[in-house]
Amino acid sequence: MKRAIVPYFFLALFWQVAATATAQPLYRASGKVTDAATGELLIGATIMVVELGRGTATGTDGTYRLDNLPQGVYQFRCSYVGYKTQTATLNLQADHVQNFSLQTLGATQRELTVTGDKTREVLQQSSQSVSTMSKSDLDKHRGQTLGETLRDLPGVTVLQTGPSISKPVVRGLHSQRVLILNAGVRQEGQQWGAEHAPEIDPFASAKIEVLKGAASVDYGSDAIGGVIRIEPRPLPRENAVGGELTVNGFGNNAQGAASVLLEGGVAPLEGLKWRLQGSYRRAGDAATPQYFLNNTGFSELNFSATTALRKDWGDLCAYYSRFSTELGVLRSAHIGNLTDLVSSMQRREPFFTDPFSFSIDFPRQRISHDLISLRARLGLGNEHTLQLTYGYQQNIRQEFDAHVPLGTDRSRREIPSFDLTLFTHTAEARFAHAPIGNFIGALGLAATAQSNNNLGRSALIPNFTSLTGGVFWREAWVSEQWTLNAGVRYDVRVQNATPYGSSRIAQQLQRGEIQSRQLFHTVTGAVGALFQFSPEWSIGANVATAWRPPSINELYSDGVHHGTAQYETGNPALDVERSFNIDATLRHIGEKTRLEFSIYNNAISNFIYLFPLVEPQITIRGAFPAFEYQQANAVLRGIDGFFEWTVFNQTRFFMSLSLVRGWNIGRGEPLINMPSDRLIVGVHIDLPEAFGLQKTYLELTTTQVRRQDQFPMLTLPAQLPPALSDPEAYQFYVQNLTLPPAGYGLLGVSIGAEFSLLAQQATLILSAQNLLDQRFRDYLSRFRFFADDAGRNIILRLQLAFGAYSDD
Amino acid sequence: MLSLNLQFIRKKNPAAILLALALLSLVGGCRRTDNPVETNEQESITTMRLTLTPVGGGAPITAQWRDLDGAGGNPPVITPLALRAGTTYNGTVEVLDESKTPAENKTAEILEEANEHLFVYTVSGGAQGRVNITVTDLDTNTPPLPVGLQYRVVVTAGAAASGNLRVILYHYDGVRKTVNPSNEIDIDASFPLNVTP
Repeated sequence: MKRAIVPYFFLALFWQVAATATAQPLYRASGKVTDAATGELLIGATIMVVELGRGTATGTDGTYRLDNLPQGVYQFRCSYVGYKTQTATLNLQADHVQNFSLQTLGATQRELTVTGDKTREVLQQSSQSVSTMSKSDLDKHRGQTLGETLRDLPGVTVLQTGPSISKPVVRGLHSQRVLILNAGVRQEGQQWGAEHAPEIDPFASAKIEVLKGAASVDYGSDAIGGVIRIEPRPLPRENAVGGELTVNGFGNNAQGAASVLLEGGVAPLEGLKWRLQGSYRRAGDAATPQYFLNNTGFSELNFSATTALRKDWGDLCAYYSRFSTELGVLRSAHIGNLTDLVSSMQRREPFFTDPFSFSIDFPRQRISHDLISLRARLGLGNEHTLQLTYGYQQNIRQEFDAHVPLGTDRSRREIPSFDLTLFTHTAEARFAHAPIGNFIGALGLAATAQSNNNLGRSALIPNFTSLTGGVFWREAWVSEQWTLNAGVRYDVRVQNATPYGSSRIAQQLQRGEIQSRQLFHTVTGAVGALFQFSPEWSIGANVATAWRPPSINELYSDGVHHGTAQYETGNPALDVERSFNIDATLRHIGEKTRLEFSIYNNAISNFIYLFPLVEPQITIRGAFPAFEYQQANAVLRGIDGFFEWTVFNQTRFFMSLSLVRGWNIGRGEPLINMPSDRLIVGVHIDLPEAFGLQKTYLELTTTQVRRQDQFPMLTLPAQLPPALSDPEAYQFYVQNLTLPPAGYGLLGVSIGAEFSLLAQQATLILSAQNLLDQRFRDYLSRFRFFADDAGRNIILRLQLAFGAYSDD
Repeated sequence: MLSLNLQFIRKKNPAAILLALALLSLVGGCRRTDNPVETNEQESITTMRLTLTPVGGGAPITAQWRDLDGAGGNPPVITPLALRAGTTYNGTVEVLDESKTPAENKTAEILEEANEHLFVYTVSGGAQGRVNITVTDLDTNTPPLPVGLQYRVVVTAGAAASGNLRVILYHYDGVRKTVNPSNEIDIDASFPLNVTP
């Protein structure tokens, strides 16, 4: 959510486009724009005649000229990035010279750069619902995972596997159904696994946008639930070197984290800029109100480098990032069989409640992700632009199980049970044509090539290679108040699996009994409309389709998924999943109020989901919970939105709501694992400046999560499965497996201030999550059968800018 | 793009050099995708066999739990344990991997790691109370703890009964062995059990 102060009052004037009488005499206004302090001429400053909606920019000589202005009284608004916007009132009765001398922005005034145009930009951003987290929003969440960072946004919830693994859930969908774009490249890890968190450095992003709902036309397959766009901050304009140091400490799990950013330009080569950034996070066992969650620590080291060349013909940007982490998986969640699971479900406390430790033992995960993104934006003349993006990713995921088969040397545990390496190349070309009348649009080509290789002791998914190609065309018709858009896309994907391991499906693949080569292709489309029906209000509606081929795990999984002890079986006959999404979004930006409210209906045909089987998998190690990939038509409906109200000058009240209902049409019952209803209500109070502290605030937030009452039930068969070693545990399991835990409410508080430290700008934020140290278990926590979620967490964040760094 | 980078290197741009190095290290750091070791490992027990020899003499009886194709696929084949009322047996247990040829006997490995393993035998159903099983062998822990590779089965005299025998092999992996369950289970299998007068 943007919580910037917006000078809304410009807006009302801005939209009243004056009707110009042709008979009137016409005049010229001209002048120059300078820096008030240095007298330097400013090139590219914008001059707007507010009443006419007309404007121009200063040329290389720092001057501007506006011809053919009818007689009248006008507000001339002059703005330039990094400077205070200035407005002059002119009574134009003859040609007139109006000079502007702009003052640079002090720290306190930066937010005022958000102008009336910004309001329009927000109101007319997209016919779909988009939530944006700006750098200052993100700064309040530094050191937390992507899922935790986004969890307060309307429509976003979190699928959690212990404190160190979390994935964002957008409108009830997650994993392969939510596309993550990192630096313009679609993030490809083993995102199918519910306990496989996105490999994203929590310190590298300066802006995150969550586009909710289907978006296949622009992004191809997988964007059924939404798209999360993560962007590093733009490179600096100046050559001077500057940077930022961020340090934070988390009380709950003794997490320490730090990030350093350094950026600048290269003087001899005009337009060449660079940035280096690195971060480190280290944490031990997280604490619930009553015990420690043993083996939930992690150690994460990330690095990124960016360089860009900006010229008048376009710009080039190269980005490299490396993410690497080693993280423990809750020791008590490592269970043997169904009897163990049931005894965990019946316990009040987990099996292990040892004292705090930093050690990362078995079971654990070791993950690294390298990403190279090369982007070019080329002006082709006549306002045509061509955007080229290439991405290379190497994702290595190693999962180490605590269990080694009988009689095997314990040192074998050092060989991962799963060891997957995924290479991905992505390329995209997007040609945006010059506006034709009111039409703006783009044509594009996209391709992805992947190969996945197993090295582990066992395998859950086979090796595979895949090739995906797509072509798309999108047009929008834009007027002052209306934006109409439509797009169409065709994608084809061919995928070839080669068996690894000796599971039943692997053997069937080997013998050619099931298809190893699969071809999927589909056409998707979208139409949308956006209407700004008043200066402060707009409404958007969208009809979009999206698709997703069944992923490799859904087709070919066969084996025990370590760490969760569930036996998962794929279905090689699964068909393409297709969604048909209708949504509407109402937006408002007023002087004291802001609102965004969406309603949606996402009908998905051939929805693929993992469902527990009543019949467990009998092995010599006992019965294992068995899960199977099933496919049925489903529909997800919901509402989400936020509302902000500045009650007094210094006091802002805000709320954010996420409701989703999922229905499995095929089975005639609620969809499994849908997020609980969630309401966040809070108040933000700006405190007066004192003791050299500026922008001091106090924020109180409550999160209310209702118990999920929409869930499928399993029914006990009339006759128990044969060969069960523990029938009682089995019955308890069937009756309780799908039951959601109780609802809960959490209180959070945050206090922040900016001050000057060693003549540099510093920000300090002290916050507490789960302030009252409540015991709770979330329905979407995969450890809800084993342990409580984390208790009180007191977090201190310090951010220090240095050199020529400006936080704009 | 690469040629562009090289130009920057010639101009000694530190950022470009760093980026190029990063790119190079990445290319150099690419993983092998062929298998360095034999890593294709599955759960290696297919069979558990109980052999009970009557103390007073007579032919031994056996019961077997066997799942040759491992987890998934065909269900296990289990032969029940047929006991005679008023009889005492000396029992042994054997654990095999019959997916290999020749079959591998895993019993010796358990014996070798006896200080980290414990078999627990539990009778349930109508035979509960009629069939009593006590473990007779001890490991070399101090004090010595039961292992359960050998045990004694006492069936009291009386009418016919049936029930279930559950055999669990606990593994105390990296934790101190006790007579309580560990959270690491190597085997958990059940046999139908019948007592005839």
